[in-house]
Amino acid sequence: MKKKLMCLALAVVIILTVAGCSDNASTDTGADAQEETVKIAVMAPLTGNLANIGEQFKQGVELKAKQVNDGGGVNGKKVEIAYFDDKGDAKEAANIAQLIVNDKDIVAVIGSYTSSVCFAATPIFDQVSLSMVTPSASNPDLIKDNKVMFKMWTGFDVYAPMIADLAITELNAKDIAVIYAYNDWGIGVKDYFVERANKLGGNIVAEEVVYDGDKDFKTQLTGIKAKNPDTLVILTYYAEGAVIVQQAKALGIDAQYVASGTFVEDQFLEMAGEYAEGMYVINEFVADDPRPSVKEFVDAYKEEFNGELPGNYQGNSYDALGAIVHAYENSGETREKVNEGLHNLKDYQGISGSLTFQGQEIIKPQVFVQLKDGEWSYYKESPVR
Amino acid sequence: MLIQQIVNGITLGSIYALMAIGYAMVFSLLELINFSHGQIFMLGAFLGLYTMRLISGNFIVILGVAVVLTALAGICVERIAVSPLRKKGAPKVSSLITTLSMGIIIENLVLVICGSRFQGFKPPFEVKYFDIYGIRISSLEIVIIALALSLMVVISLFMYKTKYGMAIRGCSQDIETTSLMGVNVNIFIAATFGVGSMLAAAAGILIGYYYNFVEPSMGAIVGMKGFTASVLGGRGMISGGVLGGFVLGILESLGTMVFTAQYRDTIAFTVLILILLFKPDGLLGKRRDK
Amino acid sequence: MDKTKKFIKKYFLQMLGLIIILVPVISGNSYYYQVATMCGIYCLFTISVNLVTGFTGQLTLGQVAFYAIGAYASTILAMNLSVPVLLAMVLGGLIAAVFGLLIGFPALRLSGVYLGIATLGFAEIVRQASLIWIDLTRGPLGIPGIPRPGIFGYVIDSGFDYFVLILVILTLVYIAVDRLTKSKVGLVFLSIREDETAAESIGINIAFYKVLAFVISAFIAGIAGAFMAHFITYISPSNFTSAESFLVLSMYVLGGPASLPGSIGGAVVLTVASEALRFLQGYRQIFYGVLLITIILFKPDGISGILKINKITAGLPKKLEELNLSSKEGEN
Repeated sequence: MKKKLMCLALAVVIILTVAGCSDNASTDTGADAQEETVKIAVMAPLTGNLANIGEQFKQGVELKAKQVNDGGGVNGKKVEIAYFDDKGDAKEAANIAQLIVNDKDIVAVIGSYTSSVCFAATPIFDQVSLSMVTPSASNPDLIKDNKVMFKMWTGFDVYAPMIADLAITELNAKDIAVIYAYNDWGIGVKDYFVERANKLGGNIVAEEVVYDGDKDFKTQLTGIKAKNPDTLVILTYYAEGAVIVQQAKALGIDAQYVASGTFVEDQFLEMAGEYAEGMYVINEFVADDPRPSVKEFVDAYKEEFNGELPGNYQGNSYDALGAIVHAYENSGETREKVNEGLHNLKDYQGISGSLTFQGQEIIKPQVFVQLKDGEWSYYKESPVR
Repeated sequence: MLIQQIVNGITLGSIYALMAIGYAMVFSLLELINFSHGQIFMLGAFLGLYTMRLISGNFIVILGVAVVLTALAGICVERIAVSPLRKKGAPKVSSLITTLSMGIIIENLVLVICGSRFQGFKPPFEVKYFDIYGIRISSLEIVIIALALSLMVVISLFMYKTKYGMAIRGCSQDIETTSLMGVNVNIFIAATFGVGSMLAAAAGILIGYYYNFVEPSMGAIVGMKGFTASVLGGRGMISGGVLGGFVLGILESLGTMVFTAQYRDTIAFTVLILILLFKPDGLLGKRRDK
Repeated sequence: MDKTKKFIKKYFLQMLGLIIILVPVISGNSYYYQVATMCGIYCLFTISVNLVTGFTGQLTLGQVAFYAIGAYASTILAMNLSVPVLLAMVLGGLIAAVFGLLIGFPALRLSGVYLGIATLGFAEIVRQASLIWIDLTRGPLGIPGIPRPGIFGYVIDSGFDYFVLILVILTLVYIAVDRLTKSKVGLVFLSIREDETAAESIGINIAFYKVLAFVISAFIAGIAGAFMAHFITYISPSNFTSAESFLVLSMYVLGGPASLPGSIGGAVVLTVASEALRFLQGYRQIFYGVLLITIILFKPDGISGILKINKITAGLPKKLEELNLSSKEGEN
């Protein structure tokens, strides 16, 4: 009896795979199953440690999809989104990439969050000219050797030097301590920042490293305190950043904080807003941005999501879907045509202005943002590099 | 700078010590390692968070509720993953896998229910900072060390001065004889898990306050370090666990000063391997609590 | 019913193999090839765990360390030293085997749970090293663009090609390990697992065989890791976490100790299930945990126990004595 059950179970699992695999995604943008649709995949960490990021991608995409569909769709067809959970894992990414490739209706992909997932997926997408627009990954190597990866978030080779400008030219920093995340993003940002800072005559007195998920930075901060900096540049994700500013206060460090745009998150304010008052960051946009295109986006987002404020991930995934739809409309409806359309994307009106893909990445104007009275607020536009 | 680091080390060390006691108690009783202990620690922190949100911000209430609920969770682990194997006489390795699995289940349940975000967890009292001879210490750190030490004293008193404590120690010496003497061994084994989980819950809440947040994966590494501490001090001994905890905390802090912060976790694992290889009975050397 | 049972018991492996081979080939679907190839990689990985834990009784919880070493070694050889990929994979396995030697010796001092923990610690140290040693491994940036295998000028880059390659490797390894475990060496392994003292008392050099088990299993795990690197074409330290060790542990437990068909079964079922059960999303890990506990509590011999295809271990020391092994210590 038991053995029969076992074999039965095995057979069921196999049948499940064969049947289940061909139709694995969930869709929810009000598109009718009967109608022809424009199917776009979203590949993101929807569960696991990075699930809250995946959620933000989803929000941005959903808002844009809704707006497009309410406006009559694309070429008369509604946008349909298929979500795929990569859990931030490269191995899963490869499997999912194959799943997506085999769904012939999918014309483009939005995703993913981490560079490692993107690296695993791009060779597979490259073979079939399936475009992948990432709202967040920043590794410069991603766009080498393939024709399908498009980076939505302006590369750190562009904004990291701007952080140096912000600190030294705007805020008159003299003795600068840098604390940065030990991952492919943080190391890159730090290198470009230091290079520019040195050119501008800044004095880097300390460079300390923190690990993702690590919570104790007393050692690094004690070392930094000993060097007596007037400015502390924090190049980490917001979770570590929140702990850093608290522990810095605990240790009695008194310096001007300058950081990267990863801190513009409600959660950061919740966790450590009071400790970071007066901090300046570089970002692509901010809620009280004077630019009308930003205001429009922020208002639409607040209306859709109960007054919440959108962040970079929502903004970039919103623009990613917009860019794909634009390419579909103007260049053609096949994967190759969409790919061509993205390569040739010029002056597309995104949230923060006119977007053009140059060599598969976009250079957007950046703004300086200040943490004032517990809120992130617009300071001024960054001088364009 | 050196003294400052040692102070950091003592604070973390008291947390490791609380965890180590839990491992030691279970080991001395059953000669097995409870691999879900780290996740129990995390569960305690989350229960504290939700108590604060849903019931009351009072520290005593938070501690009390979280500790009791976590103890229940610990007992569940024992009932599901440990006692069936003990009754079957299964090899010790099997309970390693089952407790490990329970840990994964707990972590993922919390992940699914509460989400992966870091959740803010502020202490219910205002934190003040003191500067003593150039060393900065906060009232929170003092509370952590004091509370941890008091819990250790309470546990020791419990184990050595009360009937129940003696019964548990009797079980750890010789389960058969003790049960023959009419003691319901099962209850005491479950109680041991419960007590260990209470300490872990307290440690979880304290760590949550220390860093101002909790998140589902916070248990895994602390669990490993707590275990390292118990092995370092001397497996199966409460006093060993305490000693090991503080020693590990200080070693770690000093180590990050010498080798840079990159090596914080590597230090703990290296210590573990070295101790297992060269002095498996730990610093205190003896086998069991007497 | 009895006939069916017997049939399944006898041909379990072949049936499974047939399904795994036919499904992708008939459908031509590259996704199925992908999953099937991953099955192959995990079969190798699980066999390596089974060899040292199931057959020889040495608990290893950190097998991912050798997997990682094989992956990085092969990648660095192929990219920095222009070693042909297939050769680099073999060398990667050998380098992992050397580390197996390093682990094997301390293993002699430890046993049971403590050995498992030490291997866990070792795996963590390997992962930290891959993060910190940027010059060698590029740390958290990972290594993209890993070259694909080629043979006589033909580049292996389609789903079908990779699948054929992993099948070839798996078949070779399976046959080799099968022969090994059915040989005198295999008997020694089993006797070490069953009763170390008894085995030692009849003159067997326990130390040699324990280390041997580690070395061979490390080699296999290394090959699996190297293959994965050249298949996904990107590796980074995040591929080699303890979650991966737990996954392989689950496959080993599901398959059952000391049973090669069991390991194949465990690896295939869990790899396929993890794809088929995508809809479980966040509950997937919970499912694995519950599965493991259920197996250990109710069917500790896993698939091999259910299908009664595990090794006979009664009367081992006697058998060994009969084979007169003690005088042939250095022989392999």
